[in-house]
Amino acid sequence: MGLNLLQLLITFPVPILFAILLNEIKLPRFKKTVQTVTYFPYFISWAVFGGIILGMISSEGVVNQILLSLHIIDQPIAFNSNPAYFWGIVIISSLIKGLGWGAVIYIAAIAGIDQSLYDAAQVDGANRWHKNIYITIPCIAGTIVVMLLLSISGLLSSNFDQIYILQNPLNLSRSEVLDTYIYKIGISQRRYSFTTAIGLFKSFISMVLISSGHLISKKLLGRGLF
Amino acid sequence: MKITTKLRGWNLFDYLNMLIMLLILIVSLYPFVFVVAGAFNEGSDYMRGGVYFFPRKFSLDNFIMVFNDKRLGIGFLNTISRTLIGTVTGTLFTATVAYGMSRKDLPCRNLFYWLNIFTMFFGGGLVPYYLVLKSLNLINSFWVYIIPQLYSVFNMIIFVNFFKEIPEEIHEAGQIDGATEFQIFYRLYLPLSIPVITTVGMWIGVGHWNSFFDSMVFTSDANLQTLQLFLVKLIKEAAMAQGEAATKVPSQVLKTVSIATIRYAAIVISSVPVFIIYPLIQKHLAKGVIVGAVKG
Repeated sequence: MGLNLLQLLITFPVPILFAILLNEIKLPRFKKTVQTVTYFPYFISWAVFGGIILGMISSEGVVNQILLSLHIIDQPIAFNSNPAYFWGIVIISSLIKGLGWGAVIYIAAIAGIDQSLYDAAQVDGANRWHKNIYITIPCIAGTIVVMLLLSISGLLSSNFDQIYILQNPLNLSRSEVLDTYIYKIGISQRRYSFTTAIGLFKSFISMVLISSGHLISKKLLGRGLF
Repeated sequence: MKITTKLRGWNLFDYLNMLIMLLILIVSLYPFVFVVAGAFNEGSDYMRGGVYFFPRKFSLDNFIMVFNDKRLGIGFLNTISRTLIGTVTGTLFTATVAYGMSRKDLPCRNLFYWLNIFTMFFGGGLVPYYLVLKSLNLINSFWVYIIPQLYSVFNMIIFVNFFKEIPEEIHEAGQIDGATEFQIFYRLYLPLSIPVITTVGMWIGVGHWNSFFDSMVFTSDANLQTLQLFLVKLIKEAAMAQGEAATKVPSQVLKTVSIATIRYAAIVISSVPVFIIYPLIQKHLAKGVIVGAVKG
């Protein structure tokens, strides 16, 4: 769960920032190109993407070769066999794969903001920085909150496809998550009742998380999930 | 220091922003450049390192090795069939349910609604799911790919939101003309919902194409494995050269191949359909997400 929390902290704000920055781009065709290109990795499966990432961080892959040629390291780092790097690998690969997709919701929300708000601010002498802080962000705050609540409920489960692909016996101390554990001992070892109990426990905690998130946001912001 | 701008009204921030965007573009695109370069590169040469953008020593051996593996064909067959069948059936099925849910005169409507919402947040877990599938005789059958995916609450909600936007007059007009509910749905509502159908259909299709988990857990028959599962096994396998592909390839090729580049070739082959379809559908994407997101 620690991995999920860290992943949430890092990968949640990035699409928002990206959407806001993208909104500021002044060349419409470039904007569309960036959107199209960043959207693409979402459609690739984790089997494909994981395979590519594994190749890139292997000893003969790009990352190590560049570090070697810049003389930052003397020997290739075995990224994938070392548990310490696992979390970093997961987070970075999630970012690359999910950026375009995550940003789309926010881009759509920003596109829905009434243009006259910006014009009024312009008249009052606001510059771009002001416009972003005082208009853009508050207007999409509702969207942000909903997305945040939905992400919180997913804190205990993880993206099985991604973890399974990147996991191997050497990094298991950091890469075993609830879902892969349930899969291993539940299906392979057939300890049905034990893993069912884990699964129920997980669902229960998710329910608690999302209900508390919903209630807290109702109290603080006056709006919840529904 | 005066910052001269070539373009009207640009300042330092705009240039920085462009730079950031370019970096993001490169980071998003590069993994694919890398894998294509590696796939076309000769195996043992690749292992020496340094292949980043273009193959240093061009070779099609990796692709030959992959095409010789029977499992590739099986994978393609299973994945293509399930994507085609599953997308059509899943979209239609979910849309039909959504039409029912969007009618205010549906009996027990609230009950159905809460049942749906409940399953979105609370699930029994993997093992009970497996046991249910087993009791339905779906384990190790092709239909385990189709039947559980027929319905998704999330997609149903998207459809319902869209159907609610369709004016009630259309429904009444249909009733006046003596159409049954089914005909109204099929001939009036569905044709009006093309954008939503495309979007949802695309999501379902991508899900089918990319899935390996259900193939891995719910089937043990090698003839049922999907394309992605083939890739997963390839990546996790220690040495493919020991597989049946080795018997069909001349021995001098075997000496120069490496697992890594074979993997890359398999990845490239599996991604070709996605590369082809993506530009065709991506113009629908922006519209579709707005449809879903505005009411989400």
